[in-house]
Amino acid sequence: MKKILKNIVSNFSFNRILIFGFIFIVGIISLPQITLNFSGQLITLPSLESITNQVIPNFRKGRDLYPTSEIKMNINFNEANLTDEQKRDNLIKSLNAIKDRIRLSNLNEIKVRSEILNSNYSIILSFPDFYADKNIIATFLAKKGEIKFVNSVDGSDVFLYDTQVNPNIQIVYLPQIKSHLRLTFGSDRFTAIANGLGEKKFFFMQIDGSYDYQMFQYDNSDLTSFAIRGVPSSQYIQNNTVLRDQILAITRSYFNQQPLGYTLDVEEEIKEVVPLHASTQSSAIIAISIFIFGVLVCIYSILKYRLRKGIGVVLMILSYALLSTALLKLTYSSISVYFIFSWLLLFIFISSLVWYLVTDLIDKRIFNRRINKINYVGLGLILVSIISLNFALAIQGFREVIQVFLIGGISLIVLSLTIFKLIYKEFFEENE
Amino acid sequence: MNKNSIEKIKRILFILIPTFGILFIVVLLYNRGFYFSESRNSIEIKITSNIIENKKEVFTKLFNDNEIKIAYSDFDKGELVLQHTAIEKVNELLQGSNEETIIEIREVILNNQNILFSYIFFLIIIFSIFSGLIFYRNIREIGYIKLKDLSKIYLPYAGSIILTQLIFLGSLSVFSRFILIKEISVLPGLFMLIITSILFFLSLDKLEKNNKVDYMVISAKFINLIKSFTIPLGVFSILVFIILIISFGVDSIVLLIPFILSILIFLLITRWINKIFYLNFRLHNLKIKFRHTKIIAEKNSVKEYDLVSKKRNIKTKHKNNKSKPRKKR
Repeated sequence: MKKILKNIVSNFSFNRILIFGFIFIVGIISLPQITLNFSGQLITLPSLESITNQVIPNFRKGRDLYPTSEIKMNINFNEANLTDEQKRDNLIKSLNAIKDRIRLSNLNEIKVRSEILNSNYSIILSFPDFYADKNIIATFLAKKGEIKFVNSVDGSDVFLYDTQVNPNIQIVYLPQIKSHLRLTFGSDRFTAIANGLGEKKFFFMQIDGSYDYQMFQYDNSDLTSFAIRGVPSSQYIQNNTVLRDQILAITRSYFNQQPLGYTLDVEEEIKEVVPLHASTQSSAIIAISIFIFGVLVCIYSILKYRLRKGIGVVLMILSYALLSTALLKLTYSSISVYFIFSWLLLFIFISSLVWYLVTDLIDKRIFNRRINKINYVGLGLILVSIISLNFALAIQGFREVIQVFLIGGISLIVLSLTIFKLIYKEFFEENE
Repeated sequence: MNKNSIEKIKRILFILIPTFGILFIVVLLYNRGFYFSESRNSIEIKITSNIIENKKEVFTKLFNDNEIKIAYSDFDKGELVLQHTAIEKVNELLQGSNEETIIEIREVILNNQNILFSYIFFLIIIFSIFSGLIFYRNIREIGYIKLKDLSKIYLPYAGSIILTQLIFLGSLSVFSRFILIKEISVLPGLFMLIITSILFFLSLDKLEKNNKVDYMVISAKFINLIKSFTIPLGVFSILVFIILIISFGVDSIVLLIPFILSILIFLLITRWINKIFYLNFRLHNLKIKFRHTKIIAEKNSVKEYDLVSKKRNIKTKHKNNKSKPRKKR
């Protein structure tokens, strides 16, 4: 017995500790909290949230498999004497403006469409489940975007105009004032800024007549660069980090456009749209199918390559599956049909790559050559993803596909430079 | 005309006709995009009536009129989606309908960019990046390469990509005349593009300095890699089918068609192009075989081996292979 134990310990080299340690850590990060029911007794398997007691980034519920919410905004033509054709044109202009705002604010998961029904001209925003405060976001997206700077004492005009703001409007984070807008003007606006700040040292920025922002100067750099900073006036928005960033981004987009021609009245009712076929169990069923498939891949690998090498192959495939899932989870990826297909395809493809890597592997030279090629493949996926992300693609689901490819490429390179080499040493290299 | 010329013409026609036939006739003559597509503006009609005859009357009116283009219809739910139809025509047609029938006519304006143009744009990005990587790897491995040799290596890749994508998009465009194409329908084409690019990249081998690059070896490797990927792709299709059924119900049968189509196109066309143009296979050898075979390119000849029976099925000779001189008696 002592001899067996001694053998196991001596065989369990540092490399193996690293390999299994890595898989254990990414496994803990990537796996969800699973609760099993054994004849009435609930056993919860450990997850990162339960171990660290912290809120860990997680997957978000995307489209197709989960309900979405719709908010309707009706164009108020104010009884203006317009023909149907003119009203239709205005509707399309407003639709395009809101699409631009969404794109500039990087809220690309929100879908927009316009409708004409019984002489009602409306724009409908469709939010995936993970958006909070949908009403507030819709309200800001629906604003005309008429910006005015007014005095904090008597509400008089400060004689600063949105057209005078320099193009590079920044969203800046400082620990003391959190995230805020920073606008810069030309040197000729110095007097107007100084008069506006006055004794109270701040003034308001109105959007459509509402006192939405407090504007002030924070330090000497603002004085010398004729800059003013703005924080949202609403306490609720101030205290909510995610919402604050979203509202700041939408506000920044106003400066890139002309104000909308007519007001949009946002309906209070939020309509939930349930996918026609997918149920609450759908994602669980899909996950189980993929898990079963993964197990079959592992069994096939062991049968094809025999025990020692087969285990090596399984560890390579498993490390990719867990690392890519963990990274996708940590980057708040949203689960949708596009996401699942892309991940599945990459998983199958990477499994095939691993088989290509280890088949007819004569010596280390061939292994290094093949690993080098795999690095290029990873690099190719990363380049494609980064370049594609910079272009606004009309096909919305493709953003999720690109995200999966980017994470897949990064995982592949990280693993091929580290874990795959360790696995090769431990399970494939013949001891001389 | 000699036999070789006829064979060459056959090969060219074999590739060109389906490709350009589908592409030009369907895509360019009808529309520059998919005819019926969920990304287009539409008119949604909902017929709310308890009396089936009233629903039938409205459906018949709309189906019989040639100017009405119906993208989707569900008689039981009383729903219709029209595209390429003016709202005035619809209003005019439905004016005299039964008073008990409530017809809701909703004009939906999406103002989306054409899916096809977005997809082609994305295709160009992927194609350019992997082409760049192929060039970079060639130059890095060999140091110096003639343009002629480089083009011989690159052409199987470029030819495969362009032809498979043209056939896929053209075929999808044919389907778009009959069914409503969803955004997700173009996804398989994108997947096949990336897989083809990666597999071709992996087949770049034996690129050693001062050696003549043998593009036949690369083509043979490329085909073997594609063959080895057949079963994983088959498994992927089954899983896709399961996921589509769960997500979209029975309607997903329609979505499955582009997936199956893209896989078939990828597997067959990529192999056939390389076999015909670079490995000198005859047309009659391009059968769909369900045998486990491997192609080995050696010096100036190419052999296809059946790995199960271990027999050699096909042997071709390279064009420049000079015949041996006759022995003098």
